[in-house]
Amino acid sequence: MDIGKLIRENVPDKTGKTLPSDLTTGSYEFHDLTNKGVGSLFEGKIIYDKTYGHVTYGCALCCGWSTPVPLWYDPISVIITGFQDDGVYAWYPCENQYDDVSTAFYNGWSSGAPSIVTVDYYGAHHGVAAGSTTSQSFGVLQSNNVHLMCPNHGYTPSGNVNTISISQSPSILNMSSGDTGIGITVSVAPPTVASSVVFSVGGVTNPVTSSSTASFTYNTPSTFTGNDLWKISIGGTNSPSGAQDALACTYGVCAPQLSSTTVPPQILIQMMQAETNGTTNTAMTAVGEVVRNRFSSSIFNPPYSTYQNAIPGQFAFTSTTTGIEPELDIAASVFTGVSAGNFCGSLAFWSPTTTQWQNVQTALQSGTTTFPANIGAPTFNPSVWPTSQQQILFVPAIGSNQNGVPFFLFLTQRSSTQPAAINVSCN
Amino acid sequence: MTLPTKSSPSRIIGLLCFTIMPLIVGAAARLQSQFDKAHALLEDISHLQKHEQDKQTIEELSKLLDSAPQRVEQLLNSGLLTLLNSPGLHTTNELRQKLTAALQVAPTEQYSPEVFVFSSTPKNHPPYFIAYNFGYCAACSRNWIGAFGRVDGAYRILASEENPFPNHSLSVTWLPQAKNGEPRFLAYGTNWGDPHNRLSVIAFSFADSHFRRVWSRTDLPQATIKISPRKLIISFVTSLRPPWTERTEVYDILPEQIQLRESSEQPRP
Repeated sequence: MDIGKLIRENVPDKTGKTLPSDLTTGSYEFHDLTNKGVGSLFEGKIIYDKTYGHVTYGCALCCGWSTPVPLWYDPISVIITGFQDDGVYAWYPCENQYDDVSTAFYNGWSSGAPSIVTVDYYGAHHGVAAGSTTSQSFGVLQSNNVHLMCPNHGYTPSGNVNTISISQSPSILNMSSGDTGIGITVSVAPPTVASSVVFSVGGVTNPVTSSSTASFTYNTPSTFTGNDLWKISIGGTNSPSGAQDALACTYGVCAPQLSSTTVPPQILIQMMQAETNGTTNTAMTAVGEVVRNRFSSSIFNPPYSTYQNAIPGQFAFTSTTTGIEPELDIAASVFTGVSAGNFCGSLAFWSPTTTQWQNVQTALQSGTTTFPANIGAPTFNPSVWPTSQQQILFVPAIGSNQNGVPFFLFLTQRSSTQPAAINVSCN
Repeated sequence: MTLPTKSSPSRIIGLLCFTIMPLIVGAAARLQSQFDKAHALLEDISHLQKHEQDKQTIEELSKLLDSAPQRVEQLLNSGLLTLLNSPGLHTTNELRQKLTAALQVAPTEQYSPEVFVFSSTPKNHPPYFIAYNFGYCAACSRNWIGAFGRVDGAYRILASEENPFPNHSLSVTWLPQAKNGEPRFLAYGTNWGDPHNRLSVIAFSFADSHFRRVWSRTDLPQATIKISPRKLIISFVTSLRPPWTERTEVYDILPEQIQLRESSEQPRP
């Protein structure tokens, strides 16, 4: 190709552009349109002025690849029964960068232990069983050794493979803000990757019925066996609460099931323990729902809008700091709304004596609209909730003591024409 | 026709009336205004509680409750001072009626405001001991106990107890004065909305323009109280949960002190 002639005769290219008549320097590139891949075109020097003999040299290199020739991933991690693609990079000196040369390594892959991982024609790794091994591939690339006329060169990149099994438990975790030995157990194989486990966590959600949001810390075990407990620490003050999802991952491989941790306000646990311990789970759930019902009642909220301000001063509560059962699980279900009932909209409860229960039974049997006296019911500000608007609920499922007296009776709202006491299931 | 050279008695009376009446009417108007304002605030709260509980209403009510209870208390006390410093002798009944009217936001057959007014000595300008309680939700209320007395020719609040029984009912009973002549009274109330109806009782004495708590029993579950001039009997259960034991304590109200005379316990079925 005579570049000087192109300049002198203003020969346009296929887009109609010409080279400037005073052009003396510039860069260029050319393509071998006939032979793809490595090709057979060799660029050595360029002469652009035959009249006065001006010659310049091109790069005079073979634009092939050199080392390093690494795998995409080392180690590569793949979950059992899962697939993970791998490939090969090679250094390309002409452009000072790595090129993806994976196609040159197709059909060259092999596994060090097919019982752990298999590798297909394209380099896709398929996890068979938990363990560690290697995989390698072979391919041919043109080198950039100009002295040897740029011969092809074979490469055998290899790397480590971990076929990882990872799982975590439990999927649902309730814990108290004061619990210290509770957390998520992560089971990982091979154990050598356990120390690389990290948790991917979501945001902390906390209903408006709690005034204090907990912080969650997932504490790394001091040693790893492949079956390790990640203890969770809860931070915050004044009965902090909240829920957070966490997913354990290592080397990009994640457990198939995340863990959802819920921390109910400790004051709710303490209240349930003080008021209902030794009775029934139904009773425990019911008293929690009574507190929750007050948040949606115009005669209580405002000001009673959170567990933290509704329980102290209104209900009994203990000083327990940990997640005793069944209070913890029931408190969590009430707090998160898993217990979605409202127990007939009950807003109060109490434990009657035998005599008081007899007085309630009389009212139940008569169907009177007059609120009975001497029944031990909680008292309320009569300017807002008079007894003419209070209805006593006897719920047999709550259970009774050895004298046949219900563990609890409940109060809900009524109109003055409705019976003062009713027998109801509240399911 | 003769022009008057000096005022006739009737004219003098007329002038006096013109001079004094605005003061009296003004004081009455302010008085009415302060009690009325307190009443209006409580009506506002009641109205919002009965309104549909959308987010805006809850926020509005929440904002109102941030300051309204304290404001009601200020208005009532200001109204009481204005009334006491207006001409004439004001009976305890008059004070009680004013406070009751201000606090009556529910039908009378449903609710009778808790208002207590005592005057220790029957003289022209006696000190008054006043206590009142007002609710602003089913289980919340604010109460106030104070002593009004004359200082430099005008009534002032000499001593007060701010909300000594938060979210409780309130009752006040006058006690025989102490040996040293100090007035004494007993205030007590039950915790609203409490499954255990916990009762608190405090005996106050008044001296040197201060209230002094001379005796108390607090948070007594399922308690009842009987008061006679010389004796106080309190019965309550000793635990929040069954099996219950009922304890009865009998106190002598002595000139020197309130003293436990005897106590007993028995199972309460």
